[in-house]
Amino acid sequence: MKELLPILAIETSDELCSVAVMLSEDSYAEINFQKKFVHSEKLLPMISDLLKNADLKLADVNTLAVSMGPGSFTGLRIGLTIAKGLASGRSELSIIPVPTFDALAFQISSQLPIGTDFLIANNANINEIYFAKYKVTENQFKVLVEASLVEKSEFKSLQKDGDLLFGNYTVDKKVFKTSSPTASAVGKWAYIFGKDLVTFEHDLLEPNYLKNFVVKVKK
Amino acid sequence: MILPLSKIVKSENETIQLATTFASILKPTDIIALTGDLGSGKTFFVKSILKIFGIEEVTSPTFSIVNTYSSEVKINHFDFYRIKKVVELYDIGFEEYLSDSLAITFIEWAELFEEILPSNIYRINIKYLEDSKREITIGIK
Repeated sequence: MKELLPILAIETSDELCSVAVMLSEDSYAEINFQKKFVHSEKLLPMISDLLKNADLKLADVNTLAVSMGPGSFTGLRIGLTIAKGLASGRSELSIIPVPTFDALAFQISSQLPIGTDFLIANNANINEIYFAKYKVTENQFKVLVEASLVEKSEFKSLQKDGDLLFGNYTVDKKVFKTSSPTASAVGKWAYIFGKDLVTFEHDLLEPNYLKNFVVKVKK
Repeated sequence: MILPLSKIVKSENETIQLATTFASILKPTDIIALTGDLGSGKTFFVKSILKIFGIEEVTSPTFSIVNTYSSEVKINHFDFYRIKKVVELYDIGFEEYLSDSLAITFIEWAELFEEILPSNIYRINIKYLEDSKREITIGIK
């Protein structure tokens, strides 16, 4: 199998616009921009600056790791569009689609004691949230509840005493919300867990909103 | 303004007055679904409201599906008239427009896709009576 590194990682699933390049197992460079509505303008210049700083050219990058969602409708489209654009005409460049919540759980779990249960709850639309539950284990984390779309009214019943809470649904607005991973976590996740997801069929990738936009009938 | 309300307006000016009063109770995240026959004045009513927010150049979104404006508040102005399937609305990020915490959203021909509308919204129906006479009904949120 071809070498994955260097991996260029893109994270745009929420307000954090983040790009990172994994140079080796234990080194990376990263640029972050936490602001609403800047992703479409800033993502490409950020990638350009990042590669320059890391003394790399785009042609040196072997893999693109892209955060696939669940998350912001437009945000995910921006990230994936730019990844596809960078990969177009370069059939040897592989893309690893990274499940956003798993990358975030991977990032969060590295800072918590083993045995801790934690939740990620992000706003999805007016009535629903993206919800997942994890446990910190010796090998990082275990999925307790797979990322899914749930009604906001159900949230209380899914939260147990002692669960730590992450995401933008309930967390205080005064702190920076940990609602999406940094690109370095996306890149590292791709490096460790993403080997089975490597694809060269760039065109077939689609953002994951956790639903096939199935029409609901009002009761 | 006490809702629900049903009022017969006899002129454009009375329509503008009613729109002005209604505009004063609107705040970001509010969603207003407008129903009424072709030419009943849905776009005119929205235009009259947007004037209060300092937005002057308002055009019908029938062709564009959605127009957005930024002034003191952000405005999304949708028209479902040309939408054939609800999936088209999901595909343009309809839910993201609605969950924008800074925006007020108006939807003309909202009745065409009831299933995509949240429950907690204002409903306005405009009924053509004659010339510039209309019956305007505004439902409680």
